[in-house]
Amino acid sequence: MKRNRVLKGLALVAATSLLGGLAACSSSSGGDEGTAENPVTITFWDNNGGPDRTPLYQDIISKFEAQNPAIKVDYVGIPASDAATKYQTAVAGGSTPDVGIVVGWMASSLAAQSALTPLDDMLSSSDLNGHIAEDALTAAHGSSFDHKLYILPMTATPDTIWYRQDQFKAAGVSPPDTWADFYTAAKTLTNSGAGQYGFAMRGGAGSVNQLVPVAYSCSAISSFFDADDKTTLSDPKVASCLQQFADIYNVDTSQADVSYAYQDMITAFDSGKAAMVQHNLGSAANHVKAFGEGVAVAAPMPAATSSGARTLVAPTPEGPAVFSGSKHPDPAWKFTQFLLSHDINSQWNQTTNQIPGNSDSRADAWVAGNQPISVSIDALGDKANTIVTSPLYLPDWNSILTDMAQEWQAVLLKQTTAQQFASDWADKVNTAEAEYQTQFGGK
Amino acid sequence: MTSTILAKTPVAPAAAAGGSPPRQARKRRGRWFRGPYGLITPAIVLITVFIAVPVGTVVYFSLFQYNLSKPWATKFIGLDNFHTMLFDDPQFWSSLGITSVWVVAEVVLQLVLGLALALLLNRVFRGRALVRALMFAPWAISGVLATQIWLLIYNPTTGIADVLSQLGAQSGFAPLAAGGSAFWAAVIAELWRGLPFFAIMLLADMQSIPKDVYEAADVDGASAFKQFRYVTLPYLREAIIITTLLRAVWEFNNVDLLYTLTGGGPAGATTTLPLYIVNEAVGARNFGYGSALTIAGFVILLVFSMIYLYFGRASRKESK
Amino acid sequence: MTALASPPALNRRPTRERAPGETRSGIFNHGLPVGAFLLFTLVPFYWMIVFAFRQTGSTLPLPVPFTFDHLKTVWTDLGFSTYLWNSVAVALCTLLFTVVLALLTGYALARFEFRGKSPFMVVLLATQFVPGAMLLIPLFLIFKQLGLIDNLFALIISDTVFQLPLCAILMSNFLKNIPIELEEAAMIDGCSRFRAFCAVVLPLLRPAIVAVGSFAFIGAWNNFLFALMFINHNDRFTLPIGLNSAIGEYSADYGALAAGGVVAAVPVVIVFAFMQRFLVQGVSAGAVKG
Repeated sequence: MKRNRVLKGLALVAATSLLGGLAACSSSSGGDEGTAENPVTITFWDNNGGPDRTPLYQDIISKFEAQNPAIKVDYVGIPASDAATKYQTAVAGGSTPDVGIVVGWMASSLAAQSALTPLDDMLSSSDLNGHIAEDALTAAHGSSFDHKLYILPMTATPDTIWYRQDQFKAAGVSPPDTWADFYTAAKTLTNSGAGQYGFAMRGGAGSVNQLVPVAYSCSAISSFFDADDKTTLSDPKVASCLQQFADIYNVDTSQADVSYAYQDMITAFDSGKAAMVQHNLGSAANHVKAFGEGVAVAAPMPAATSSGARTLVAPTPEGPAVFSGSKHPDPAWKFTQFLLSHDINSQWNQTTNQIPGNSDSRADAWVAGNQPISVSIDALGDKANTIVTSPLYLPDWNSILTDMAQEWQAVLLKQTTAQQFASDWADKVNTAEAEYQTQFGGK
Repeated sequence: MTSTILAKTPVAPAAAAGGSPPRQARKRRGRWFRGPYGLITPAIVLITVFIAVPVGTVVYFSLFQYNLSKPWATKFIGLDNFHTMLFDDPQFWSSLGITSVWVVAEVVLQLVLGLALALLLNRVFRGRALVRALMFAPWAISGVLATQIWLLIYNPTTGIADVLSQLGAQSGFAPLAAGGSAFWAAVIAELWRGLPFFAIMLLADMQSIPKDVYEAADVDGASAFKQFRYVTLPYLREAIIITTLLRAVWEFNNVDLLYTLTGGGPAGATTTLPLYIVNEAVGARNFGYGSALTIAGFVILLVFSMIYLYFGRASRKESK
Repeated sequence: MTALASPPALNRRPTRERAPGETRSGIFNHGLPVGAFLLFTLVPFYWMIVFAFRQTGSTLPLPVPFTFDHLKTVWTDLGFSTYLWNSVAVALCTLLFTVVLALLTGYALARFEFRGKSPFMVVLLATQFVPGAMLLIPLFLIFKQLGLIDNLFALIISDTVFQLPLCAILMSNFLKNIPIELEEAAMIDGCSRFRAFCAVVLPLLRPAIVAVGSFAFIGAWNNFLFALMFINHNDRFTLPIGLNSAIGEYSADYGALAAGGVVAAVPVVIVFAFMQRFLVQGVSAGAVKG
């Protein structure tokens, strides 16, 4: 009896304090433009909330609020793995934020649901006009179903091969400049008896996203669709490239790689058990933490031949979008521009180790001194290289990538062939593209 | 402590009687409490608003081509989703097969080991209270946390393989890497979390077996095994029937551990029906088809439970 | 099936002194199997503890060199102190609501014959077949209508609703084993039904209340899916989403993850170490008696 009373008392305390706490959190909505005394609050969603990004955004927000006392920014950090679902649910329920960071592959489906505000006109009358790097802007346009601009690209980051310079030197193998170099290095640096592998492969969640750069850099096919609007993924060269890539699984990689998602893959590399890993620049901080400066080095995706000319897949843009449900579009746009401004864009990219979207930021000294970033910018800007754009604009693109992940595991486990995989993948893309053209053809 | 309750019971009514209200008022107030409908109204309201209405919505969605990322393509298609599911979707059938193996494996293992554990914990030995407290601990752990813990163990850089490699054995132990072993790795992780539930349920029932039955058996000179076979087991029959059914339903619908541990992979080897539903509805945002799959799962469970309970009841009547 | 004359809670103590047929306990038929079960149960916890309290970089299978750094990180930097409090609040409120509602519903089912009783029972059972994952979006819309998105009450309500059916059935089964004569005696003495219930029945229900409360508490404490979808702000996160969000796309800090796991696990494990005795009793009396 006594125990029950204690428990109930506790629960009551909990209930009342909850009520009190929640009453204080009711949203304030006033006029569109707030004042310093009565500021307007906008909600901001970070698609990658966590120990790395959250403090960064909180610092940026405090700077913004100091400059704009009439606006308060309410920060919400969402774990990266749940961001897409969370946005979708918010759109379905009509409770989107004012501003949210959106990655290229989410943008199209959100825009197609009219959840995002087109920013073209707003940008052209903004101070930022002309200060956003051309490739980043192209990537952002290319990620929407109607080729309008829905996200301001804070960054647009391509996939790279990270490799251990020390191990490469010690073994006397050349850096992975071509795919032939890559496979030689992977073989040479593998000593499976000692638990040491040449490559850490992403076989689990997110694997197929990373196969696009593999397929095109290796096959050197110069566009994603052919003249008949059919995808080049069904080209036999793609199938043989993917087969070759799959064949090093469990030979020059560990057996566990088939289920590696991002975290496992990076851990395998940073624990020194794999000499190479394919990822974008975002993991740089982890590598520095693991080995110190200059040990893990970034190279662009390898070239198909020794001529040195590379075929690269256009980087995936990431940046703030203004949601069309926003009741405060002007403050929201103000904050969006702030994130792309020179100083802030530099701060953000220097902290996250990515390529700035703001062209002034790219001219900063820290960029030139950052090997992974400058090597990637150079590769994207090199006229000898070909840039292939993946169809981020297809609202189905991301679900196709997710769908194909299981079949890719089957390829790694030799239950099916890369030939079959590529042809199934191509079928899905062609269906989605045809559907898209019927709906939006001519746009 | 039970004896104190016993001692208190007869006193309580007398004490309460002193302060009872006049007859008239009591009758009126009593009527509300006497009405069973009044008592179940809150439950009915809650279940209607937060379960029945959402289920109705799902039934409605299942008749539509409805993909959240393609709002322009939404249209009424009648039973087409069900037609596709039954005749044109091998993954539906394969996920159903995997679900069956998953449920049977979990329920059988948890039952057998849970029964063994309950028998052990029903004995008197020193430190039993502590052992019991420790054994039940995984039951209180969330699916996300269970996944975190078992990922540490299965991950080759942080887990068993790492320990083995420090001992000089390069095992390459990566249980999540191959279809068969990934499935059993998930089964073990779930077994770890599910075992205490069975042990608690069965132990609870063992303790309600009257002592004199065992005493009689002892007098008859029955062996420990015979006592188990002819005394304990028959007494536990009903508990076993209900607990296995509850567990089977629960394991059927269990998503969080598989979703976070294997994500349904590798190569679909651990994609159960509910996981397929989540991938379809939440991952691919194909809400219409996901709804149809949900209804299929619901109907399968309903029919299965009815058959199971029918035979459970029939066998009970027979045994009496 | 149990033709016991007295309510089951009354005729036995949680630890029996003598259990005929169960006394032969040697190291081989007892110590070994208990040890094996303990190993299986505890090694995973141990693994987590090693990672939580071991300095990054050490590879010893012991928490050596010992450090509180990971715990400090999750507690202050990652906000696990807030998550813990939110989880406690949600779990306790769910416990309270579920117990009260289970008492009301269970009492009606145990003590009354009424029209619609069996359909109602069928509905209660049928709710168990509904996969919660698929109700996410419809539920989200409903909570949006109620203005409860990003509000812990959305979690308390949904957790209560999904725990209630089984808890009500458990409670009614338990009540059926308490002779109605006890209440009737009190009512003859002049008590109202409500007073009779409070004075006579409620004290006997203690094990059932502990059992139902435990189910509700654990269910709410562990719920991941609803919390993930209905809560946005960090300061309203519960532990499972806090844990999940600690796995950022750009961090692979196993030490912090394990320390977060320790924060999430320790309170429930300790509470249930004390509760399990009552839990077994409560389930014993309620769950399985037709």
